[in-house]
Amino acid sequence: MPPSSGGSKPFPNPRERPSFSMRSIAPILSLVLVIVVIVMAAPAFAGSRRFTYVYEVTTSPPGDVEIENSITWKTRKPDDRGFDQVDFRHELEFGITEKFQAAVYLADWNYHRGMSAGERGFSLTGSALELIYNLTNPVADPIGLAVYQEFQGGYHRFESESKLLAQKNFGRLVVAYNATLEAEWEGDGLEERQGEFQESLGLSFEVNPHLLFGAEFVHEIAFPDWSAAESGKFFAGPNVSFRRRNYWATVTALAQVTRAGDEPDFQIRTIFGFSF
Amino acid sequence: MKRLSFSIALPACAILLASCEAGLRSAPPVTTAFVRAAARETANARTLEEGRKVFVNRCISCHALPAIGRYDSKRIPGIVNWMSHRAHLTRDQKDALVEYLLTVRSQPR
Repeated sequence: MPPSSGGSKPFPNPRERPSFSMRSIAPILSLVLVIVVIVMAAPAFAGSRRFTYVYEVTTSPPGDVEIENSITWKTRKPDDRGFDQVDFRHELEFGITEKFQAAVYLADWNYHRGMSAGERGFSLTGSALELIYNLTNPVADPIGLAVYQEFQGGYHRFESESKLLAQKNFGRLVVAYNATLEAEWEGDGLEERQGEFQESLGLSFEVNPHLLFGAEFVHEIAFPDWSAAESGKFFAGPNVSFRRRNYWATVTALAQVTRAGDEPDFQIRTIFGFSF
Repeated sequence: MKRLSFSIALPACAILLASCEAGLRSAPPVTTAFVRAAARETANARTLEEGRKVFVNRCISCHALPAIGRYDSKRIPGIVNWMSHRAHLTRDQKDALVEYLLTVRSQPR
């Protein structure tokens, strides 16, 4: 299973994946476009993220509305050299209180090709609701903490993702850690189930307020059918974040350090946000 | 095993203490002495507490907390005003933040 914070997972049996044409996703794209236009008209500012796989403990201020788009390209699995997949996520984020934020993932979809991905084409993974509650501050308190919960629903698929987020700001250096527990149900009657435990660590150094460099590390252990654990998979790579007055972008490139045959050797995730 | 736990716990505590110290330096807590040193007579403990809360919660979303001592007091209200839209600050929060930063600036370095 690939690093999953913000990404989608391959279906256990690729032939069961609901593929569709551009015509069938046109209404979804139209809806996304309409919402983007509405948000563009609102006086909002996108809170910039230092990492793409690791979440930070800080939440959006109350009344804030942000839009974030995420693109993840995964390529070459040890067992499938022709594998390529591009995942797209479109998120609308709302600051509810000083310590609580909610986000809606309007549509998670991807383009895939390769033996393990089934037929070449587009897939709609689903939509999701994400909630983050901040507990402590990463500057004023010994350690910043937050809890995260995401529910994702799709075609014959439901997923719950719970995280404990930790972060400490050492001046211009930020260190963040996430522990994630995922539970996933798939199939006609959602009878196929599996779990995953994931840890991720991020380090980011602010060279100046516009440019940050760092690294991210992801370690995950899958529990197919909630039984014996599979071997751990480990990914690591650098990241860079660029921010200006009204836009920001963060890019992370991860390489698989282990040799799990069903995981991509390389993946690059970009998240970009705009202020209006 | 006990020795191993100790060798992990000790550096972890040291890092935490050092980080607390760093946090306190960039955003000093509002003490009685701090309130007494407030830049203007209108400042009170509540306003300064609110200013500190805004400083450590909102500002870090975009950048590391700066060393306020480096800034000219006259420039601080303008800088806060410039960033207040981005941080979604209300007028009261903006005023409290300026009050807090001016007080930090007036502290002996």
